[in-house]
Amino acid sequence: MTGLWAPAHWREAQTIARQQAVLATTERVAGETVIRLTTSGMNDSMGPAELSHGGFSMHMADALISPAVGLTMWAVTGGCVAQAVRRLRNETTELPLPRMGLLGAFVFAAQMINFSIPGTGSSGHLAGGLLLTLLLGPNAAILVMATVLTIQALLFADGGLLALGCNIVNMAVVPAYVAYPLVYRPLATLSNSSSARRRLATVLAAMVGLELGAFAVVVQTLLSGVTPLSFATFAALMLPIHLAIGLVEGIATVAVVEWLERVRPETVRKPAQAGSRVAAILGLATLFIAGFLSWWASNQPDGLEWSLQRTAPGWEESPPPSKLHAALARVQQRTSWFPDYAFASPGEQEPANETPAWPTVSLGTSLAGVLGSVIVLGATVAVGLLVRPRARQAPTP
Amino acid sequence: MSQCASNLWTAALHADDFARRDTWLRRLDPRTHVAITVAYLLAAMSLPLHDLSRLILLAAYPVWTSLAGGIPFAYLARRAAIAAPWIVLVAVSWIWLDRRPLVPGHAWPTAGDLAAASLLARLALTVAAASLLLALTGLSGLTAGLLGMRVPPLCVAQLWILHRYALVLSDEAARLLRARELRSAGHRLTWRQAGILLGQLCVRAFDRAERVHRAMGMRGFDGHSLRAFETRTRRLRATDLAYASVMILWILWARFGDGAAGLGRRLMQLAP
Repeated sequence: MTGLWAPAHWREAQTIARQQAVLATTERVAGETVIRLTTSGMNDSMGPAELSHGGFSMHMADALISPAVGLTMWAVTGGCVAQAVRRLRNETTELPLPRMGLLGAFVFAAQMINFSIPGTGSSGHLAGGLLLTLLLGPNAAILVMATVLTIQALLFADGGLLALGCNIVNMAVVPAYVAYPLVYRPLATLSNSSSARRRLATVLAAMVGLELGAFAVVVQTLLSGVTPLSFATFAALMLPIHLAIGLVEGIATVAVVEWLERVRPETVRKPAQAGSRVAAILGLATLFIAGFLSWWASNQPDGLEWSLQRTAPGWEESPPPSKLHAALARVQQRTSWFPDYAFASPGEQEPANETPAWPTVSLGTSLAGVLGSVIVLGATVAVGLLVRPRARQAPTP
Repeated sequence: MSQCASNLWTAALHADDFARRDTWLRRLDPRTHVAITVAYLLAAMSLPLHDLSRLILLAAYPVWTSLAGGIPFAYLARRAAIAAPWIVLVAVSWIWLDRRPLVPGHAWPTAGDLAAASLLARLALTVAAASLLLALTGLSGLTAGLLGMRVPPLCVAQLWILHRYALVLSDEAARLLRARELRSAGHRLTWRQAGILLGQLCVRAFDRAERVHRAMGMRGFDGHSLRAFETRTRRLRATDLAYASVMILWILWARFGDGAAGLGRRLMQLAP
């Protein structure tokens, strides 16, 4: 039975195999034994016959995003890929080109191998982002995953072309540039790191990577305005499933990496340096504060607003004093996705006389806080990278 | 014989087969088709969700291109069906949640129906445009076009190697699974066994990579220069520029002009 959730390209193969089911019969002349091999029966086990875990949900189609979101994500992808290429050329004397290409092909082929998840009756398969990062390092892993996603989009219509930028960010950049340095490396490179700790680090990194990728899908779809679902409903649909998918991915990655370490230890890359635990702790603390503690932020007016309300009542409704003010106010209205740190929802304005409840538990506020923090952090890192002094290289003989 | 893997790649390589047939549309530079496809995707995706009439107008481009390029509609429809499940869910949610009637006094059709139809039309048109791009240029033409657009040669080299070896490794994976199936007496694959199979496949990938690396070294690859992957891109000709201009102008007119409503009005003026 072809599962609804199977990766799209394997569903197509299943359809073709079913249409062309071949019955091969071999009869031995000397004996009475008849061997029948039914390829359709064998294809059941070779492809994603059972419910597989979400190969459909992470590949976004063009119809689900707006040009603004698509082009923005393409710009982010372009920047990350350019950075990955530059770093790869700097850190390696010889490009591991055949290894990267073959491991990309491995990720492709690995999606054929479906394994059963105990206790659920469904099956899963490896997505490959974190595994590639552990084997090749984050920079090469981004290039390889981007290539895999491009081939899937071009040859198998698994994901749109303008949405390819979003897909590369969600499934390549997030595991390699976010989950690996912030979750895996700090945990796995501690001086007393045991194999149990490294397994935990792998599983946690896989879960965080997939969860953040799914969260990014929710944000990108909502910002494009093509779905009528609210943020809470959409998030409730996507996030729990991808938590389970991340757990499966983590366990599969651990199984593969441990087997490789036993048989071919030179293939598994040791992280070059211990990750910055301070950065990881600060990052997680920022997300916690912005996403959760913001509910306890006061919703009473701050000092300036309180003073203005007493000295110049009605100042908020007064018309702008000049054309420049009016123009800038129009720009601000158009560009503010999160007015008052929540989602703009025209149908749900609170009546002006009621004081809002405290704490203001609101997923829109959480999202606004998290996104704002990420944007500020990203801008800070970008500016810092631009102005930091370049290290002098030793002159080559 | 790994039926599953070869069926999969037969289906995918149909795209390249189309590109080998010689029609005038395929003799155009790949960058022409890339520019037209990007303009088309931006035009279709930038339409407001309830604007169905302009989408119908924009459908003329994939219809014209598939007829002129000799690409069957069934191929485009099958590729749209692959991306359909998630879009269908979102479309159904529109029908369920947005029940404002479009015509006063009638419960049906609703604004949600219009949004759902528009979403499905967007899916069909965007997938058709992307499929036509590959069918007209083929992977080799597309990569040549990408190099002409200053994509890093490392990325293009990756695409080539992946395209070449994905079938080889898919065959190996199918053989591993078949061997396990024949020896497993019907037991399902556990995650631990899957880890071993994946590890085996990974080791074979590494071994093959080592052989490919040695072969490349013997053919002059020094670990830095990617000259072998750079194809010389020819200059754009007047035909390429003219065709791209006409198509992009048409797309802009369909997106921003008075479009179907204007045509309808003029036809009604002509009627007695």
